[in-house]
Amino acid sequence: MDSKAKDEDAEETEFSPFYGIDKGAVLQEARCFNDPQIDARKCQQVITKLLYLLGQGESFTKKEASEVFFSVTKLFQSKDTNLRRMVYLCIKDICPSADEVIIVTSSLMKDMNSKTDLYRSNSVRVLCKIIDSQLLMQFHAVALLHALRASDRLAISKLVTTLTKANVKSPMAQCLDIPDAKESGLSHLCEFIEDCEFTYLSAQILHVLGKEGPKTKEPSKYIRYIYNRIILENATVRAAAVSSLASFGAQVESLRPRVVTLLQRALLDNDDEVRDRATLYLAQLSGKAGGVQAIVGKPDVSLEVLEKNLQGYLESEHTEQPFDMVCVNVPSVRSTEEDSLADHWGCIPAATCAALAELHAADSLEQPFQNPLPPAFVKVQATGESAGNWLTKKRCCHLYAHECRQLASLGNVFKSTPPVRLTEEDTEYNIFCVKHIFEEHVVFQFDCTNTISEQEGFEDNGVVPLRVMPLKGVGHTFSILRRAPGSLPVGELTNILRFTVKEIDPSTGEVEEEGYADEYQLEDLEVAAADYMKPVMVPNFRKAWEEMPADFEQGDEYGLGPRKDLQEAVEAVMGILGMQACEGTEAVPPNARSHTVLLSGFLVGHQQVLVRMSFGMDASCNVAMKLVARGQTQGGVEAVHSTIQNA
Amino acid sequence: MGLWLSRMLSWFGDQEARILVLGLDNAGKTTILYRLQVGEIVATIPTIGFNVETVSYKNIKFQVWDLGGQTSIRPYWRCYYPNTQAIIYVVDSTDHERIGTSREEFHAILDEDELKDSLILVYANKQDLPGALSDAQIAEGLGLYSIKNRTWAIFKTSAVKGEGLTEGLDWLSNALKTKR
Repeated sequence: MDSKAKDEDAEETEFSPFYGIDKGAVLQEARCFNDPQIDARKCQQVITKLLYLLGQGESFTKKEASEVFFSVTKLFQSKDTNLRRMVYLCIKDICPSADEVIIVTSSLMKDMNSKTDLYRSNSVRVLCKIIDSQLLMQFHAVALLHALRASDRLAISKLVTTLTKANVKSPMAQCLDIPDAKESGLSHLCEFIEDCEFTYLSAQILHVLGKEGPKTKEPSKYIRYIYNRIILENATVRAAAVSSLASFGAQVESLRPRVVTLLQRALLDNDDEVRDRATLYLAQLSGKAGGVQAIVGKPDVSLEVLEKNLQGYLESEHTEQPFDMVCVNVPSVRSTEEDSLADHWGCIPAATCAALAELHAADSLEQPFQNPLPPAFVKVQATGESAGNWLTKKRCCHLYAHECRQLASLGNVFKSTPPVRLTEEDTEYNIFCVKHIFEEHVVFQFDCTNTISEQEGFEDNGVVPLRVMPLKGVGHTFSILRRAPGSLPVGELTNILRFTVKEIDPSTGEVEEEGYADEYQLEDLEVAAADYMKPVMVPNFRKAWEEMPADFEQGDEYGLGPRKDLQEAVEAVMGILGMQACEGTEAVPPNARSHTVLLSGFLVGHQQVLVRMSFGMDASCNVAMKLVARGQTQGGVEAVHSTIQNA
Repeated sequence: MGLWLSRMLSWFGDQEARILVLGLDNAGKTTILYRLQVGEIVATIPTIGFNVETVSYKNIKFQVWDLGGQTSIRPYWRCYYPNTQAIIYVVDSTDHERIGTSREEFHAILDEDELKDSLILVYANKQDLPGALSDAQIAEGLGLYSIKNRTWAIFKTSAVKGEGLTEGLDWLSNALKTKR
């Protein structure tokens, strides 16, 4: 290890002074909030630890949250401004229950009228966060009035006066009295990150600046603060700053040349992630790799897809079941426009998908270059090329699966796996298998290429044989297995391709009557528990977790044996479960000895399952995992645990 | 060392006390708090939650917690009970109808284990208004005379006129010094 790398190592460790802190111990420490004499510095440290735990996905029970919340309110007696700032952060993050939170109302309102800028901006922010839904309705009405009269300052001041006279209960209305609250809030954030020691907070703030800053009257004033982070901070913050800067470049055209210049300097950064981000954003800002649109991001649900889905749903025969919004949820990872589109397709019920595919396939022949589908898709349609992007192939599979009426009776496809190659490359038969998980069935779709064959497969519930496979085309044959209701069988399947070879008379092109039977041994195919699980992101895991009734909560501890590091252990378990990691928790900070991963997904049958896994590593690198699952049904929760136990 | 030092300071410097101001809504708690702190009448609205201010009087720094008196907030009073040296219980002397409710809340406070060592100062407030009950009537209404083993006192006050408040604090500071 050279000296530079050593330095970096030391640096990384230094930035995370809280690795492995224990919730119980921190809650114990939090009792110092109740001391008659408040030690502002100590209290700030304890709040930081609490925030760190929350940021790591640690959850507090209702009782714990309530206790911490009331203790924290006692810190309002302190005049220390930094402590007050932390108090606000803590109240905002700990999300006390709606009836308890009223206890800080008077204090917030007092701070809203304080001479101290920091108190005003912070109290407004907390109020926005904790305000209850009833007040929110009132706020929306006021906000609408505000929007209608936004151009007229006099009208707004009248509006506020009227509201105040009418004694509106919502202090939110009064927030409008401070037209620049957001901008002054952002300015405070800018100053805060100047001397913020906490990587996590800095990164979050940079994200907020990137999101909100470009929409302000004077976006350029934030650039300097953000660029300073690229020069002065550790790699994580630098990367966040690069993203934040790119967001300004994408949204504010006049700033773009300046942002490009600044990003170019980050190309020489010694951290991979920072360099990679800078490279990508520079390409996108110059219109490549998806263009600026890719930086700004899109809404979570594409309205276009939603509309088409609903149309397809109404035309389908399955309207007795409610429309499933999961179908239009966008998976978390989006890179380019093509991918994003493709991902939508993957979630669309087969019937709609088929309709869409036909539509687009028809389009593509006329206008191949303006078609929004990935070029690979068009190729598959036109030439039947078997290899290629699996995402694209998956689309086709849906298409064919639904063409067979026998399969249509099984309902909508819950999930289709990427194709698995069952033959070696460059053999006479190219066979891929796609597993389609239905409510009560598993359908194996065999895509066969390059020979004329007839096939039989697994029995049980039926086989859709392939009659003729044209040369170089892709033919599809299906094998349907019925599962016992509620069961999720796993295991290896042996595959044999049985077919009849018939000769074609080269002169007439006629097929001879007689042929001979042949067999072709294929690779084994595994059906894993993850096949029954669809990774679906939830936007706010903690909220989803709280809202999921704890009736079916089940926790257990598992030993994972010695591992290289926690990242390896996390990846192994995630691979087994096939669920979606939320809130970036799949990435373990370097050198971490403990880590919490949040997962969400839908089990076949559309039962939502949430999982919280805490990993810990001892001195001899043995990894232990505590897994707590919550779900809509007992079965879903048990399935997660048995998946781990049988892995 | 740290402990010893802080004791020495409090010996020579200001004494400190943590006080809770309790009572039904609209008794005048917030007005009393700010009258004591800034010496004038501040326009108040019903307290949703609490106000906390430091009031210095006769070398004692009172940290005064004025907790909202509405029914929805009363359940949370107990969260603020620990380490309390004294309770100032405020009664609206003109609120004849709710004197019974006030008495119930008052006795619930007296029964709290965490408050068993705290001094009790009662303000029979709003004496400037017509129809106000006298301090004796309030004492009777609250059942003060039946209290045993507690140090208590009652004062006629008018927060609006600023009458009676300092007398109460005088009693309180003497009682606190004696106690220590």
